[in-house]
Formats: sequence, structure tokens, C-alpha cells
Amino acid sequence: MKLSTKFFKRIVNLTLCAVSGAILGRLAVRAGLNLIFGGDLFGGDVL
Amino acid sequence: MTVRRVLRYVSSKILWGVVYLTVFLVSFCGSAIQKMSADPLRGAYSASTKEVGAIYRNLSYGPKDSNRFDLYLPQDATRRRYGLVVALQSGGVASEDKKNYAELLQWFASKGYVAAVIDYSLDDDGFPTSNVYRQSQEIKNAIPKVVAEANRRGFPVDRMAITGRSSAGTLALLYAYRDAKTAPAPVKFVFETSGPASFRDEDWAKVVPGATPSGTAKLFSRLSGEEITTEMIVDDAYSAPMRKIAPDMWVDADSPATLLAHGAKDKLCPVESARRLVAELTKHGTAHDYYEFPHSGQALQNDRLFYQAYMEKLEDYLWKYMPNY
Repeated sequence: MKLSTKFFKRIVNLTLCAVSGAILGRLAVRAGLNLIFGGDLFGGDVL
Repeated sequence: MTVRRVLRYVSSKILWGVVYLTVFLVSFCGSAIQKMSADPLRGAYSASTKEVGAIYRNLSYGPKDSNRFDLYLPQDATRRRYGLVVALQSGGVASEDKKNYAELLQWFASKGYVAAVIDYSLDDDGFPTSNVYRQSQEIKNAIPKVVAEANRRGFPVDRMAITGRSSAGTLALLYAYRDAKTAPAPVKFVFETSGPASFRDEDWAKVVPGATPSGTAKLFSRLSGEEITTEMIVDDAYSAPMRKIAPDMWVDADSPATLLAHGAKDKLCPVESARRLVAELTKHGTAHDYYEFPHSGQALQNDRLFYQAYMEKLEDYLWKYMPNY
């Protein structure tokens, strides 16, 4: 029982890391392009 | 035993911390690379070289190394007349390679048009005296050579459209409004994105460093090749010398149809510059369509649906003003 709880927590953490990395990666590119060319961080395209 | 347990616990935590960080970084970098390289139109306006008849690169139209153009010919060589789409290589103060236009020009060729991209002397270390006016003269000299080359290869051109992005957008507009009367083929329409379309101090002061009249004077001088002083900006006496590079000042009742796009948040070229041109086009009754991307800057990077609408309108323009027959 303890082992499966730990395993489940690790899967959730890995998923959170992957999803947050993907979102922040796209936001970082958008922020970088906005810095050079102008633009909004949110609005228009979703990420 | 207790110390060993603690060490095992700590090393396990560190190991999993490294695993989580690695997953985050791989996901971050992969997502960033995918966003930077993805085509917002998902390949809808690109074509492979297999769909093109022939491509000829680096053909010369003038004495300078930068006076080159690439020519894309359609597969069907049996028609009596062809429409020509001319793209101008953009860059402003930075260079852009003609290859950036390759997929779009291949798409035009796959639709049965002759297409060309023209290189010209950019304002960089190689050509410190280049300016918008001189560039426009190079374009004016280039286009007859492009048409002649297409004719020579068995693709007689009897109508054309011209396009550019950013500073090349200005050149495209200038050719369409100022120089089309001497064009070797009638200019049926012009389409551009993010190009400076007018030069008014009250618009450009927002993007000029320091937002001062002297900053605007320096910028306008550099673009036009004329000496524009701070006093001329303050006294509003710069319109006459700027006219030769200001597309909005050349619009008249005979100007060709125009398709424009501009980012509302553009920090390099003020959106007001495009809006002034739109007002002139409306005043003269010139057919036009204007897409203002609400969340985007110069690169039109944050409004994919607007970009899709702009390209669909481009297809309408091709069908309406340059149908293949």
C-alpha cells in the first residue's frame, strides 16, 4: 500500500513537471518575441 | 544504521529532484523549440519543390552582389500569359535570406503563377549609405529584368502583384503606388505585413528612442537619405522631403487594390502608420482590406486566426485580381 502511494505521487509529480515545463517554455518564447517585436503575453493564441 | 538510513533517504530525494528537474527542462526546451519552429498556418500555404516547374537562383539584375533575384516557374508552360508575384526580401537594418520566402513562393508557383523574390542592398555595414529611397530605385530597376527573364524562359507575364514584410512592405507599397505607372506589367494588387506606410512624427515619436524630435529627425534622415533636421520636425516641414518614401502620400484613384496586416502592439513600426494609409485608401475609394492583429507586434506572432484570415483573403485577391486563364 505504501509503495503504490509513493509511486502514484511520483507519477503525479513527473506529470506536473512535464506540463509546467511545456507551458512555461511556450510562455518564455512568447515573452521573448514580445520583447523584441511587441505584443501581449496573454490573449490571441492560447500559448 | 540510522545514519545509513538518513543517507539513503537524502540521496533518494536528490535523485528524484534531479529526475523532476530534468523532465521539466526537457519539456521546457522541447516546447520552446516546437513553438519557435511551428508553422502557424500548418503548411496550408507552402509547397514542395516537386510542385514547382523550375527554380532559378541568384539571377543578376544589377551591378552589386546584392542585386539578385530567384525565379520560380510553374509546371504548366502551355499558357499564353501568366501572373507574376514578386516578393521583396525584408530586413531593414538586419539581413534576411531569400530562402525564407521559398515555401510561399513555391506555393504561388504550384498555383500556376510565376514568382520571384528580389534581393536588394540593405542598410548594414556593407551598404551604410543605403536607404529606403535607394532601395526603391533598385526594385524599380529589378522588376523589368524579372519580367524579361520570365518571358525569355517561355512564361510571358501580363500582370503582377507585389509583396513584402516590414521595411520590404514599404518598398512594395511604394512600387505599387509610386512606380506602377512604369511597371512592365500592370500591378493588380499589393499585399504586405507590418510595413511602415506613413511617416508622421506624432506616430513615430512613440517608437524612437528617447521619443524626441531629434530622434525622429535622425530616423527619418536615415530612411529617406535626405537631411531632416530637428527644426523641420518641430515646424512640421518634413513632409515634402519624406514624400518620396511615404506610401500614403502616393495613393490616388488609380492605386491598385491593397491587402494589409499590422500588429496593434508593434513596437518597431507604429500601428498608426498603417492606419493612416488605410484612411488614404478609404478617402480615394481604393479597394483594400486591413487586418489589425490585436495581440501581436511586428512579427504578427500572437494571432494565428487573424493570420489565417489574412491568407484566405490573399487567395480571394489572387482569384479576383489575378485569375489564371
